[in-house]
Amino acid sequence: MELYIKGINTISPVGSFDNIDNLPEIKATEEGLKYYSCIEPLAYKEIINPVLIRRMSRAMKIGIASALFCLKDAKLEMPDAIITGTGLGCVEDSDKFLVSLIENEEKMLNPTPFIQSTHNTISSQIALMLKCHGYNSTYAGRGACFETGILDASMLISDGEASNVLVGAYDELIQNQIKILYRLGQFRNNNTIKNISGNLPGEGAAFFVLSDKQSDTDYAKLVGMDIISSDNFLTENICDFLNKYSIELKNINSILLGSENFILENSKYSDVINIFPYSNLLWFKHLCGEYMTDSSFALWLASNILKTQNIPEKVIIKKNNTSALDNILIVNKISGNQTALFLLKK
Amino acid sequence: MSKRIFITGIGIVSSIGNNEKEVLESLKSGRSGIGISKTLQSIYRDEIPVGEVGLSNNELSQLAGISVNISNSRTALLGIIAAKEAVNNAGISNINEFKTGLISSTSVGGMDKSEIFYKEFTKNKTKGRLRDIATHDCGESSQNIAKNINLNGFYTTISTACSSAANAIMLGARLIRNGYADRIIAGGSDALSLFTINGFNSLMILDRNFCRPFDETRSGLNIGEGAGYVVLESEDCVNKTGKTVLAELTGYGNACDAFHQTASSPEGDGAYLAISKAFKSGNIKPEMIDYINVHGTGTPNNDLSEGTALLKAFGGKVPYFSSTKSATGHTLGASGGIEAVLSILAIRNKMVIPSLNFKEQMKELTICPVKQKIDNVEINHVLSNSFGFGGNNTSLIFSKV
Repeated sequence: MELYIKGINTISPVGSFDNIDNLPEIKATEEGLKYYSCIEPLAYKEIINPVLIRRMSRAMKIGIASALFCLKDAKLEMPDAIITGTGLGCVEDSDKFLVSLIENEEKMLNPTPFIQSTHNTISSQIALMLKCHGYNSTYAGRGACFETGILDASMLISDGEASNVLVGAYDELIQNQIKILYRLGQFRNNNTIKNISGNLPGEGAAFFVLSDKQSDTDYAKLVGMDIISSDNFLTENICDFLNKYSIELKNINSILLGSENFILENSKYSDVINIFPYSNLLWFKHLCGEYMTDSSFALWLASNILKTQNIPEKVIIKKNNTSALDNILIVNKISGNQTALFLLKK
Repeated sequence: MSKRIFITGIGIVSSIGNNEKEVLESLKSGRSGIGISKTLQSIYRDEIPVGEVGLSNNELSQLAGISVNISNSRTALLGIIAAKEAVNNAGISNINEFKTGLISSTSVGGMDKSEIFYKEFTKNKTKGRLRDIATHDCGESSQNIAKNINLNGFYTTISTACSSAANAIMLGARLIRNGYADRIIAGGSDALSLFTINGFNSLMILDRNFCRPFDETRSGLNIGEGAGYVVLESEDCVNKTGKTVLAELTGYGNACDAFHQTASSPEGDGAYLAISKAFKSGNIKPEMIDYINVHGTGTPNNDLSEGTALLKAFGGKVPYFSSTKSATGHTLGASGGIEAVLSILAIRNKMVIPSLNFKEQMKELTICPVKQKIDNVEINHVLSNSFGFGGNNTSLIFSKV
């Protein structure tokens, strides 16, 4: 897997890479349940036809706008394939249709939210707007949905089926879902949380243009990705993974962890950090919150760090070296008992 | 030359049978599984016919060999039954012996349970049993199936509406060809839900009678439920185990119609592209296809679009074709998996499966589906089409070995 990242974009709670020093605002529902919410672009209509915007849910707006901004960033008009990953898809439309079918007792239902609730709505809408007849797919639900999208893109490229693939992820957060997530115990409301925690429901969209052709304007090179399906032998699996790409543990400059906290001792990442005593320890969930496709935010952040050669203060947990910033390993424990690994090089 | 992909196991549960054997009997006798639902709590129960698996969730749990106390979604239960059958059918005793993964697909996942939860939750946000919403996401059924077939390896979930399971099979083959896996269990599962019944009803594409694919009088689809999985194995893997090969997956292709979110283009551009890609990937010429298991939903739009694409792809000489959705109903995210199993059964049993309820030739087309079962036909290659919302079109080619 040697993929060059040509273009990137995110619509996220923290906004742009330049804005990372201003941590995202923590919002709260009427019951006081805390969450993160995307900073949405003010001018959607610059990138999406205003006639279409009116009918779109927020997931569609953030997903489609992020994809189109990403293509612009890559200076690419037509990708060869479009792949998306999403945890819960267009959850606002699913919720709307479900509520209306219950409240209206199955009568006189508006089909629009049903149509838009389909998980591949966004990959299809992007294709429709671009008139892109190429390969199109969507991975959904817990587990490696965004990561499978990356794997799929890498196979399309290595098989010669595509040279530029638009791949991304999106998840929106709605009020009913926040209530359910807290009731399920996935998050705990803690009033002591002031302004720095990743242990809150979040949301976001992030898109990438991946290609096999190298150029001076690339963000980074994605050298490898793997999905570990069990917590047992995680550190051994990480060692095997790095071995495959002939890179030694001590040569990993920085690891970007999916920890929801900056205290790593006795956390679910403590075994992982023990094998990387020389690497800088970074985190990202306090910038976007936690959602099923948050690996996509981590990939966006790591790509920016490598391109700008700048690690923003706010993402550093511990600086363990001052050597050249030439690679980043992302380790993110995702939903469904899987761990995603991404190895990026300058 | 690409690595060969063999199918060594199949598993199915649908309105025409709870396993391969029962389904084959139904196909032979021309039995339809479409009728009035026993379990759906819908105001349309007596009005809208469906292809229901005639078992309660408790009975499905027993069939799946799992505890009835666990609050599993119906999608997961159907998936566990069919995936387990596929694994057994392939004679796999230790699933983790080779690098094995699961690619499962669904369109609405645990929606049947979410509906129960939302009934209480919409009235009071502190109400609703949490176990009924914990299975909402599409990945839950995949994780559940993986656990129940004792898989330690990779699993993932595809959700591209009605082409989902065909895309799962295609991804499985590509993972094996690229060396990421030796063996993949691929397919899909979808249960009947108020959500999908009402969704398609609000789109006014549900037939109040038995659906009539490719018939001039067709007026919509019948929704069905079920699951279908295949076991895909690399040639190396088959050589090592000396297993019986049921069929080979020789071609696949996916393309986007990019015409409309729900409707297909009148020219069937996306369908034509997907079929053409499948021919190309398998190095198969149109005249080599002996039977087409069409997408054939029975909606006015799909059948015209698909029929037009077939005429173009086959240069007017369209082989035998039928829509098995006339018997099973349209099983949405599972349909590509169920129809893969039916395509393989057609090859194995030298039988062209008929399309039920066809009477009147479509005016716009010069072709019509097979009305009666045809026996003793040497079927070397089957084309199976699956098309979904968003113009997501996938074609697979299964071949005799």
